[in-house]
Amino acid sequence: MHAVWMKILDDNFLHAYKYGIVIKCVDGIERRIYPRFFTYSADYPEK
Amino acid sequence: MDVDNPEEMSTPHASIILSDSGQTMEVDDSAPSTLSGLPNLVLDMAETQVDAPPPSLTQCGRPRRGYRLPKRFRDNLPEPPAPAPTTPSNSESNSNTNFVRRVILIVRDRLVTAKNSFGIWRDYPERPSADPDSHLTLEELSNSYRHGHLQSQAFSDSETQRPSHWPFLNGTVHCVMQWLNNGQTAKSEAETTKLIHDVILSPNFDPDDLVGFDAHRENQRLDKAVSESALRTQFTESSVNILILSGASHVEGKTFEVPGLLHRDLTSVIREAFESPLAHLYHYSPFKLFQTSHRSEKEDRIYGEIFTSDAFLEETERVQRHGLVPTEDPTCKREKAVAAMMLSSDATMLTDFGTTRGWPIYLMFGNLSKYIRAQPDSGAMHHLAYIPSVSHPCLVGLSHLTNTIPSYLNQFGTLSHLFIQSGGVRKFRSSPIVAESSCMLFG
Repeated sequence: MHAVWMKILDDNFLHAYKYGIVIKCVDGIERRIYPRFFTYSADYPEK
Repeated sequence: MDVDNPEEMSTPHASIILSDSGQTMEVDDSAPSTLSGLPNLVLDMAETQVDAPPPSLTQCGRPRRGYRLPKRFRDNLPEPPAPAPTTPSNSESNSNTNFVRRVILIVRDRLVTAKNSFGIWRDYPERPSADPDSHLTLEELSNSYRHGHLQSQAFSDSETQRPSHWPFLNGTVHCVMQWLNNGQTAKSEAETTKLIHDVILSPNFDPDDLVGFDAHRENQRLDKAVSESALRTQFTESSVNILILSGASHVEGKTFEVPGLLHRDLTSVIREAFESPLAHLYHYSPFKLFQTSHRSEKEDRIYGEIFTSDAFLEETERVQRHGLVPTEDPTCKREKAVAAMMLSSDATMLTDFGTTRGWPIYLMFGNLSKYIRAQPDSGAMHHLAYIPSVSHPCLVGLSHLTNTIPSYLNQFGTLSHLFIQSGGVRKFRSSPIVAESSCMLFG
């Protein structure tokens, strides 16, 4: 599981985490969006 | 007008207005409100109350009784919080303060909204640039609301950019292939009639378009186009390396490669989510939600959403004050907002029969209200990755490592739970007792 997260949290995302990404939102306003982790709920797989 | 007088209370309409205006008046004394005009409005209501006609009398000269539905039959319709007046984010106005050095002036544009009929109000630390709740209709607030139309809209957006004969080269081939793949396999009279009228006699039919036509090649073209437009193409497949320790000090651990991890680029998933039609309901500005009790006038904080939580408030504050801007664009004045990622993962059975199972990692956004997010067809849950489970070729390699693991593995077949339960592969112990006990604890 940790190895999987190493794959997902790539350099691209780390840059976005630090500097944010500019997204033109649906309401037409460009915002700099900083992704942050709020919850992580994972189960221990049974099999 | 005396509220305590029972005769005055007898007209139901009058008594309801009285209680409303009385409460709102007290509310205005207790809570600050930046919405100008509201106190005047309330005062007007109170004045009209004084001029209200006396209760109508029955033929016997008694005051007419007010009939109201019993409480269990009365239905309070859902209502969004009072709308917050929004301003477009114009940080340019702050640029004039650049010449002031060593003085950081933090001007807070605090905003407290008016109460709605349930006594619920919001306290924004900063004036929001958008208030998604202000556009909510009564239908969207009710339980029966479904966001299916949003999804169909999202699909049609990408489809409208294609030519009508997609994926074929021209309309004639499209017509012929449509007839070929219409589900009818028999060469019947009706099918032949359809071929003549719908295809050959169609005004778009041009024999020149069919030069070099090959049905097999066109079918392959269709298959390729359909598979490319599927969600699967957004995933990349890769393998992960896991280190399994032997448990014995003299035997070194071994790295195993587990293939078959499907994952999407996390940044592109976030971007896609904020550009989707559902994003017009996203909250970018956090606020505290309060309710003032009708009886005791006591203010209670309401917790229930990510965007009303202290964590989101603090993180937004941190990002807006100290959020870094890339060196390519050091003067960026765009509004800084937080994407509240909520991740989850669990193994899932994909069929009612058989053992086909997937193990997805989901991504949701706390910027969206949980009442929309929790609806099964809202499209608010994004699939980030599919985790592989370790299959037999790996286990063969593992069995050479130590002789205690295979007996355990034979029982369960896969290895994936083993290194998850042990908190990562580094802590893995091969002792059968430890393995069994961890199974009891976590399995």
